[in-house]
Amino acid sequence: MILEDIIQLTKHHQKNCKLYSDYVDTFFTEDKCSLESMPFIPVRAFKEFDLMSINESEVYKIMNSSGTTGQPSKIYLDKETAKAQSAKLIEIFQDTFGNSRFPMLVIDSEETIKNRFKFSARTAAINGFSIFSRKRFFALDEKMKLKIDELIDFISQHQNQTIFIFGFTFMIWQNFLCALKKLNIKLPLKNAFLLHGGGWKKLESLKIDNAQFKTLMAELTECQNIRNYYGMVEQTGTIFMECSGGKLHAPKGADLIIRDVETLKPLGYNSAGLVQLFSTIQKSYPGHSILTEDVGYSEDGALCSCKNTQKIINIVGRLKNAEVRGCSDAYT
Amino acid sequence: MHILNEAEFENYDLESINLRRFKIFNDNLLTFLNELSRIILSSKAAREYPDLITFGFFCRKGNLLNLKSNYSKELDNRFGYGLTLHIAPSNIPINFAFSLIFGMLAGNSNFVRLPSTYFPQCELLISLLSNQGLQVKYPEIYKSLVLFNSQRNSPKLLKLVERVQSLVVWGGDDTVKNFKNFQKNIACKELYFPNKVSSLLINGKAFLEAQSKQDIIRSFYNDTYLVDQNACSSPTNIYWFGDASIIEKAQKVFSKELIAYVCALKGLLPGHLIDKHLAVMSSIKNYQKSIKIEKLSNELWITRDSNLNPENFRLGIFNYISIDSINSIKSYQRINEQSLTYFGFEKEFLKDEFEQNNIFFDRVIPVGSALELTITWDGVDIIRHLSRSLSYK
Repeated sequence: MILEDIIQLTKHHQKNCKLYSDYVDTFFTEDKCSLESMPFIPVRAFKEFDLMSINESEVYKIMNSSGTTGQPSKIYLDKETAKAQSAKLIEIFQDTFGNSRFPMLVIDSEETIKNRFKFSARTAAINGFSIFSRKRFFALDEKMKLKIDELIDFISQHQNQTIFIFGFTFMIWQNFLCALKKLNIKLPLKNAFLLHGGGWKKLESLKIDNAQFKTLMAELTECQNIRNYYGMVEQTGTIFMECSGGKLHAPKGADLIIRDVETLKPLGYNSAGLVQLFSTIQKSYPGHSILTEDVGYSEDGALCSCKNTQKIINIVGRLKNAEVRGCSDAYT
Repeated sequence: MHILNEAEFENYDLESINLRRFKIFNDNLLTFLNELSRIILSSKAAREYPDLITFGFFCRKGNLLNLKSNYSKELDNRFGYGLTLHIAPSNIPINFAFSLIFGMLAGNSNFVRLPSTYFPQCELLISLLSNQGLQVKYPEIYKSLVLFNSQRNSPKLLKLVERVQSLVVWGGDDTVKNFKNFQKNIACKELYFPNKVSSLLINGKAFLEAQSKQDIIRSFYNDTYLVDQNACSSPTNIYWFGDASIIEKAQKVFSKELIAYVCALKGLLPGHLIDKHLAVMSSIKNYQKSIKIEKLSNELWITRDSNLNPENFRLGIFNYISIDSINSIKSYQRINEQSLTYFGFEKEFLKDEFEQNNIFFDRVIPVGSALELTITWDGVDIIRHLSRSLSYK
């Protein structure tokens, strides 16, 4: 159980981040003796405030997320936390896919990582997972169209190796699978594995579910090792990886609880509400207990067909943007 | 009339603007607005929106003639400047329409940037305004009117700002700062409404003795929860006047009835509690220390800190300050205070007290009237500001 770590981290951040400390003193005055009673920060706080538990001089990296309302989250990392995040990501990845580095097929455009103005959660994800790559190829051009000839070349160059395919779920569907189908092309990717994230919201609006996604992927590429993951820039490292049983488990060092969307009271398994995430590695900024605006429900990990008994998360959607921010409209 | 979506606006030919300057409060306009008023007030759908109905009432000829009488000496030689650009706020749905009417009454042609947030009453008003009969009967008016949506970084918007004769920006501070810095015609008349804060003054004894507390609660709700307590005119400080024991009793009754009223109407929407946490966090950041909050319910949170500036409080968070004399307000008043709504006092009494003690609010009005936009706002006579007086010798 991570409760003790979360308690310690809370104390640590209270000691080192004044705004966090005052916020905790304002809202969380009761005994902190269970995960449910631990202080949490709304994820949007990272957009509105500079929250760090280190000195300016110790800042090693600032992660940004793309904000849909213009303001990105700012996540302040020192060397220690950046390293811990990397290490955790490696641990989770290798647990699932083994200890190698792979030729990486990114279903995105190189512009996403090259162009400073295109920085988004996709950029962070691609860069994050590229630590597992030996050679990297971006399958889409700057117009997000499939570079089919170069793609076929890349695959044949690595035909005896395991290719790591990575991309955001919607892009894989729209710009890869649908594009292949239109071109009437099948790719020989039987030995590849696919890791995808970014949410199902867009596909849900097209009435595409996980099963159809996997079926089409298998049909067009023969690739059957398909894993979804859930994560966010505000809590990098501790991602929830899909297991062999098709469930997303919390990794070691992480946990979640679900809260009622209106009252924020904690809910049990199988009740949909706001997802609150815990992570024991976020030390340079108070990101160890975050109330997200994702809506989902949890399940008992012990009931999963795989060996992982950690809690399971199911994301069903996002909270409608109810931001109440004052009257500035034309420019922020 | 042109109603442009974002793409249409970007492609709009600014050369095609029909620039007209009219006399202030001209007869044709008043007749048009009266007809518009009738259309709004007889619309069944509009009845759902008190702010839209208030707007409908504002446009009645009787009201406008009353306002016109304040300018009786200038009616012959006061005209609009030409083209006025209105930048609407994103928090008060019908504000854009009031701004437009003020621009029209001042004799201008008008471009209005609509709020980018969706409000059903805005959609409804635009459809009522698009009434075919009106458009046929008042072509001059419709030719001088464009409503549009634009992206935040719209290049066309910047070009438009360079061309207009006058500009009205309805907050907040960031938007005002940006528009102040944009390139403009050097003679452009600018009118800005930066962030303001507001308060409520309530006479504890009068409240306890009031026949219909529901009326007071409803009025307070209309000033606050109706717009998520997100308007400049929505109070964040509540001054409780009276003896300590009376105030204590009055606050209990007020809080109880308010919570019941809010819950009966709409309560909190999903995610609003998160917004409240963030609102308080903003206050904590400015205050540089923790705040003691009484969470009477999810709908109503109270603080009792006279050193705190609760300007960021939203969605039902109020700072209660007890006072036993009116002049105490002076110690707690914030520098950008706009509206004081009140209950249980006579207007003249308050006027005297405030004048004697150098206490200034832009407007002192009964509880329930906070959101009623008027042609004098933040102390500025908007009609005079957007029009010019010609002289012949």
